[in-house]
Amino acid sequence: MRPRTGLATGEQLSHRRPARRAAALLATALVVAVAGCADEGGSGGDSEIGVTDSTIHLAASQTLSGPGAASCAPGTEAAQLWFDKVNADGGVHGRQIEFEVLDDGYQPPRAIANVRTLRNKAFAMVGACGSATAAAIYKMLSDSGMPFLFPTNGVAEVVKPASPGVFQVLPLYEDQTASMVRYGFQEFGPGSTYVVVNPLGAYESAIEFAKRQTEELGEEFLGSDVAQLGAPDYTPVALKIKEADPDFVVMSMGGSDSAKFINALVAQDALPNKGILGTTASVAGSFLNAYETEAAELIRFGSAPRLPMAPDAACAEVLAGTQYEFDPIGIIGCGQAQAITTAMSEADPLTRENVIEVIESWTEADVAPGIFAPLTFSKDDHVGIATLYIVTTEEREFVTVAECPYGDDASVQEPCKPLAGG
Amino acid sequence: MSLYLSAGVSGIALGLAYGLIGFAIVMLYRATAVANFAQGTLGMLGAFIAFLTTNNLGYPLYVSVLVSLVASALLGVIIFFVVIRPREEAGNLNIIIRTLGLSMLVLAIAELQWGASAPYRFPSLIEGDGITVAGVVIPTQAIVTAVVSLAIAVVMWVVFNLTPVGLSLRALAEQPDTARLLGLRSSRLSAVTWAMSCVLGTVVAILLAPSAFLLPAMMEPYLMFTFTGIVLGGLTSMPGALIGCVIVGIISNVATVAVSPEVGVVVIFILLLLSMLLRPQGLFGRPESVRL
Repeated sequence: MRPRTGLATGEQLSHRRPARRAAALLATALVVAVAGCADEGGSGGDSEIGVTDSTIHLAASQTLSGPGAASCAPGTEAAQLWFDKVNADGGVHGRQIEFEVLDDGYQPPRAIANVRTLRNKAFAMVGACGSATAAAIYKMLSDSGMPFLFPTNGVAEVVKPASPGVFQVLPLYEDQTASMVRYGFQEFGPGSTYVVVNPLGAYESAIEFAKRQTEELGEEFLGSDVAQLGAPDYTPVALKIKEADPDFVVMSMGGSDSAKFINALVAQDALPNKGILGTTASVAGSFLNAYETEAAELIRFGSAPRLPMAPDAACAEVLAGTQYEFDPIGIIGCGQAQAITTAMSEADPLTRENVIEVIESWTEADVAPGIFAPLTFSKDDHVGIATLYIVTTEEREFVTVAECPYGDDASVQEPCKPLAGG
Repeated sequence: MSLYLSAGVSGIALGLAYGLIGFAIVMLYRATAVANFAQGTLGMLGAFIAFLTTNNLGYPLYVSVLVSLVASALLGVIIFFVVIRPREEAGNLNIIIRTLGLSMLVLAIAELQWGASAPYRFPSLIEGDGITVAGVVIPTQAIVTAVVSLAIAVVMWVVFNLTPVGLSLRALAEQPDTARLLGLRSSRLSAVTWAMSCVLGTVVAILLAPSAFLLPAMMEPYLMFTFTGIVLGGLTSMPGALIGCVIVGIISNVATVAVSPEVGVVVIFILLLLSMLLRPQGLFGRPESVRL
């Protein structure tokens, strides 16, 4: 008995004429393809994954739980506020931005699972915390052609050599520790150093670069320690530092851990003789809330954004009155989101490939004025920052006091310049 | 040598803090045979209640602490009746997993509610410069922690060994069916134990918050060291918990200054394994015997 409607069974199909069979197969293939596209987040307009006529789907894998959550979450929350503003102003190319954030708990396997969920339905991954997760997912994203825009990452291999589609604003920790040693010697006079780090990304190279820079400048490197993120007690490390009696402590640690560590130095009367030099990892609201202000005069941290941000910065209006207004991670998140929407606006038609081309074409591009110094990328250089700001603390606020030319080789850089009012 | 001595002294102070958490866990274990994995998060919740009461409502710190202790006791009773008591026949493993689930639930809610602005600066109960012992400055807060730990150790020992209530709790843990047949009100006793355990957890969190900072995950780094300490001391021994935790604090801190903080963590895991292999009942616990 022949079916009256629908597709024929395999046996019946085999008795049909080839042309009809081919037409049926083609129709089936088309239905499957359309259904597949719809499954993958919709395609329309510019025929790009995650882009429809009315929406652009952005996504992030973020640390929303565990010890790093407090430091990290403001980044994507402030980015969401920026996207809301852009949507209220009409969107990008008339499309509304939909921002999906999945929690990875700062665990690489969860970040990888998130990427598997997102890579075929979102247009681009918005960078988030942190080094370990970025290092785990960048290759998958790069291979799939999905832009990975501005992760907070300290692992060199993610951006050196440049991976297609992977860009970051923030400088690598290893370059920062070297730059901070140079800045510290310039500001306070040369002296011995002791390095303490949390295992954030390539922490061994962060120690190695600080050591090399110290020795190249003719001073003594006294030692280093690696402490687990969220360590319950920094007293033993403080005791070691007290005995070593360094001129500088160089640290690359998370915000809360930086505060715990400095508080232990204060409690044990173990503050270094000249300065405490930190990387951008310490520049977080979680540090400001908790550190002992007794150490304020010694503190100098590298910072990607100028702090506080300029009053006329676009993000100043967006973050005004929110808890992220003075939170460095929130400011970075908003500034990076601004850079992302700028790149998408400049990409016409809006495709992943075009966005990557646009970012690689930026030279001294002022994409988040009042927050970041102008950014420069190229095909071979995917770290955009050319100026590292130096911040210190005044009670519970960060204040920018100098700017340093920033690049791969700290030894050939121009000296840092103090900033007016800093 | 003086560096190691200083590290040892700071390890004692830290170990007493671990020991205080250990008390709460061992007390509950002795009374109900349940290892409570939610001990840390419930303590954190109590500390947040104290913080919000003083910070948002403007009450003096000591009043806020009192409010948080009462709230913790109530919370303990509620947890017992809502989470632990239903379907008790499911067995201890089931109930232990419930405490793990409870811990994750409380942590997730706390992250949602307070995570974005964490950590918070929690005021010290007592201000002061502390004292210097063997080159290490013992902060006033650590001295308070030590005194409270020792006081609680004495009180708990007396309660469990010299009072009818303590005897009843022990009977309930070791022979629950026999205890019930003899007329012990098991639900009431267990609810009281959960209340006491939550109060102890809050005391610990409030004592640690000024140095560990108040944040949802504040107790997590302590738990690994605490569990090692109470396994080393013996899961059923209150003094054992304290001594085991002090040993852990000393070994961890001395290894940190002798080698590195990473090794300071590694030796604790080695200690845990050795303890489980060579003396499962711990230094002060009794070996379990089963009549065949």
